[in-house]
Amino acid sequence: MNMPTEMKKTALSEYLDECQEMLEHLSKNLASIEKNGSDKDTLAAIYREMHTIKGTSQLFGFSKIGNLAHMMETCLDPVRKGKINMSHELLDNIYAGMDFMELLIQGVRDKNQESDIPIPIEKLLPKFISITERSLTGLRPLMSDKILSQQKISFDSSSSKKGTTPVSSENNTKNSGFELFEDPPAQTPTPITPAKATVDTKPKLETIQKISIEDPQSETIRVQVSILDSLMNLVGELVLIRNQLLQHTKSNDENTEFLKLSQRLNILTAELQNEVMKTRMQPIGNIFNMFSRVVRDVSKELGKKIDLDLQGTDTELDKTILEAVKDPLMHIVRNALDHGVEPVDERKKLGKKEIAILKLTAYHESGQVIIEIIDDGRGLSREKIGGKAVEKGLIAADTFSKMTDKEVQLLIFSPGFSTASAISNISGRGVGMDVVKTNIERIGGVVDILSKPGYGTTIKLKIPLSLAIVPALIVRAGGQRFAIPQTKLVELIRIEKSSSTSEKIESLQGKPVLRLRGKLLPIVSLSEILHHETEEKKLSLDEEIYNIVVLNADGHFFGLVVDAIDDSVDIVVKSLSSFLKDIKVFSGATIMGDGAVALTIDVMGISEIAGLAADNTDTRASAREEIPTSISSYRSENCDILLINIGAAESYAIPLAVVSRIEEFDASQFEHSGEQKVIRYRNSLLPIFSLPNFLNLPFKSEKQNQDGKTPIVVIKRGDHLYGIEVCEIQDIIEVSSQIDQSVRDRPGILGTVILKDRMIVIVDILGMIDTLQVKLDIVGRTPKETGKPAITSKNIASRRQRRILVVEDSSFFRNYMRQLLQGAGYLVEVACDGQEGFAQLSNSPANHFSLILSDIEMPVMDGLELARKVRASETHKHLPMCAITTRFSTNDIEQGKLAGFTNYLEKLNAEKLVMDIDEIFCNAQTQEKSA
Amino acid sequence: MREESSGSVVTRSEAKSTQQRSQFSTFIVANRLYGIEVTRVQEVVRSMVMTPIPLAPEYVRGLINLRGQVATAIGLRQLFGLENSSAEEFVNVVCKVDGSLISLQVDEIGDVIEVSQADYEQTPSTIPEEIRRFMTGIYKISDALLSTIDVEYISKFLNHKL
Repeated sequence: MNMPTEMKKTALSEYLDECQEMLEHLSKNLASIEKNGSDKDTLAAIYREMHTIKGTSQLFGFSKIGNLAHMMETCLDPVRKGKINMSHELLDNIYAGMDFMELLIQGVRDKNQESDIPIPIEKLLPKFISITERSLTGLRPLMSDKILSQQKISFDSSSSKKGTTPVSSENNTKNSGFELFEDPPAQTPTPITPAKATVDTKPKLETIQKISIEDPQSETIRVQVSILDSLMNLVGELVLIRNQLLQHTKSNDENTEFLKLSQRLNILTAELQNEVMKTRMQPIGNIFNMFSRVVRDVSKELGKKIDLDLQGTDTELDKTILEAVKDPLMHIVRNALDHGVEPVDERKKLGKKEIAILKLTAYHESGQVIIEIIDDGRGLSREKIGGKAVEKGLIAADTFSKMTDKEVQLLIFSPGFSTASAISNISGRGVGMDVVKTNIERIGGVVDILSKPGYGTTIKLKIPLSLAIVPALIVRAGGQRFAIPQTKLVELIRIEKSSSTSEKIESLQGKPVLRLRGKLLPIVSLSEILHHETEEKKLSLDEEIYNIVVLNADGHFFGLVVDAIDDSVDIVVKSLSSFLKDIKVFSGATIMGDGAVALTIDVMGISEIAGLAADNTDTRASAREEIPTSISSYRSENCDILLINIGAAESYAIPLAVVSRIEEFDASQFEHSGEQKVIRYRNSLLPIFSLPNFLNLPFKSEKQNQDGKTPIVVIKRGDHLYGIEVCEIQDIIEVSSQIDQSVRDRPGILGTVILKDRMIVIVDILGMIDTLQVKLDIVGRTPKETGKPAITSKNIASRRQRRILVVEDSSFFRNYMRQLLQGAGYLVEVACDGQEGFAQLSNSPANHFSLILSDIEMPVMDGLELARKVRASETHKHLPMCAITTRFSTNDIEQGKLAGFTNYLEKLNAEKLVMDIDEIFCNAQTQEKSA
Repeated sequence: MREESSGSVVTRSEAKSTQQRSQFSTFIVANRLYGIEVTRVQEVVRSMVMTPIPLAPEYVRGLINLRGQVATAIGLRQLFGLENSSAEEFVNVVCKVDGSLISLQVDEIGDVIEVSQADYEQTPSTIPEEIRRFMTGIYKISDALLSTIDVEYISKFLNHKL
């Protein structure tokens, strides 16, 4: 009794898998018919598969599935024979039928019995049948006499089904089924089939034959995923042993035979590992194809016209990952269809194509798979999102006004956010995009969004190729090794007490913080978190060396103090027993090269346990600058400034980068050359300037220290040194380089920076020197030099205050320019076409940008049009614009100048480009000053 | 290194029936004899390198590498509220419950004992609740009393408690 049950079980699960597979095929084929019209082969395939389902279902005694399949088969028969065309109604019915069938199959899978299916489906069944009946009745005029008789049969079977007497219905169906088969399927080549007329074998033989016809090239067998998993584990173990063996070989290299063997074992193991990995890979098309159905249904329901464009369907992903992205993807697609795409008449009004396009693309990029969901709908509305977020209390109203478009767009991923004003049954199902985000991040992926109002939205998912292998950093704490996923890692810092860097750990209300480039970074100790260390063992502030791992927990940065940083390795993450997940700080475990188990750190969990996430959410609302949206913004755009006292109540500061030295001189050392105060310094005269004098401020800066010395800040400009007289050198601090330039009442002031309730005025020291140089010419300098100050590396300081907008369509050049200019010290923003560039320009304050660099050839809006638009605008018409190009014909340059470009620069000559830009700024500055 | 639980082909359904005899893999914790249905035991391994899990309850002893699979070691002494042993050596009785591997840390491993359903008795109510809740009952064997452990309950307890 035992054995047959076991066998039946295997057969049953095989049957279920097969049904599932066939339903997927059917769905794909139906979609193709709908798109490309009916072609004979596809129709035949659909018919064949429906028939197979019918046959096997009846074999297992699942009469409902069998009958359903039979109904659909009957409906399809006239279509297949070319007697009628595939109507939309019929397609709808077949789709509906397939849905029921799927439910039934699910029921079998879950409960092993068809009869266990809940009653509602039972009720739906006759409804579907009546739809089918109607569709057939509707088709009557088109049918020949022969089909009329079939129709009668179909009525027969359906009515008997309504009577819910399964046995008789089954008999009935069988009969009618074979009546249909009197006339053999036109497309199926059946001559080989021995014409056994016995009623029972015929469908079975058909089945077998059809499967073999299906796909003659690829021979496949079905394998349990668990077998693949254990195979993977074993290979992993093999790799470990291989590693140990190789280690052993290194120390015993006198035995050449052994060396050779271990080499071969090494190569083979690597190959084996590779192949085993492949077995788990599946094309993403498997889930992409599912969406053709979704798009069809949803567009029908919403009365929208949407075309689905699938690209890169053969991109392969690990099966587990594929499963994990399925739901988030579905959610994004439904969202795009529901909220993104406009109704047909709205699209018409906007002059868009009536049929919207939803594009799903998958491709490989640097060891990851990128999935993009692109719609050409209405895009994300800043106002709508902002309004909603404010209304829901996610952000404060004044915070919203300060947020960039990107930040506003990212709000849709916040928990508790949903823009749909009315909850529809398409996307508003109580789960928001935040779930999408958490789910993608759970598998180590990243979600990004890009939306242009009126043009559509792109959601980009970056997914690791395989869940199994993750690059990680191995650290030590409390004598144990832990792995931290690289994706959460920002940087590593080593602080030595002996070296006097500006970075040190301080205590803030008893909690350690690190001053890192002017920002406070909360510090937590890993061993403290993990071992509940007692007071005296708490992170002490006077350790000799700290190893700090700076981590990004969903936008909150914090430093994790570890005992040691070991190595960066690829690890295979194994899941922990479910009850261990409640500890929160561990996301899994991994087996290290030496066979020991190490726990992987859950960065989010650590930040939660340490109470970091909660703290930062508050600051998020109050100070926008405190939440870096990306690592790059966190790292760059900071500069050191020298805080000086010039006798005023406010703090003044000079960017540290321009400062050459800080000296102190006795009052007696000052001399005068004419009216110019000078000092003999390093074999030449150092002209001394006073800031209040230059700025026309009513302060005196010639105050001396107690010891009668005056501090002088020595600035190098070009080849010459200049001294700035100050009362006191106060401090060197790091500030965000986002200098507020809105209040600049006089030349010589660059702008202000707010630092923790303190306002600091940044002095435009180089501009000041440039102006004063005119005066100094009297003191004996060649006029040539003043006109064109030499450009040296020290100019970086002045570059730092200049923001350049780079408009370039090629992403390669965009990045190249960005890196080049940022490397030179400029602040850079980029746009990928004229339109985007102009939008960025319009959205920024008047003096935000100092220069536009633009390509000429670009989609949407080219460089010439951009130049014309900029020149036409009120606020930006004086902004210098340079064309960056590889085309240098006189005609081109002429045209560019006409459009409003001031210069033509060569794209590929990096050194010259930077020099040219420096020159442009210098010229502009001199012009300004002389004017 | 490793001792496979010797081949037994008693299925669960047979063990449940009162007429049948059932086999238990026995082990000793704090000088007491316990048993787990032999079919539940995947393998028995001698002490292995263990990675402790910070923040986990005391009875979660750590993680062990079982040929590429990670098993969670549960100390039965700690789970049953018995005093900790000073011994360095443990034996791991590895069971698979709900898809994850649990390794029960015991002092010593015993034989596989075949018992008859007639010798079964419910756990007396005088046994402290801390241990009684993990027991399915008592088998009276010739020279000792065998307390049988409910692995499912341990798994449920772990997931619920934590």
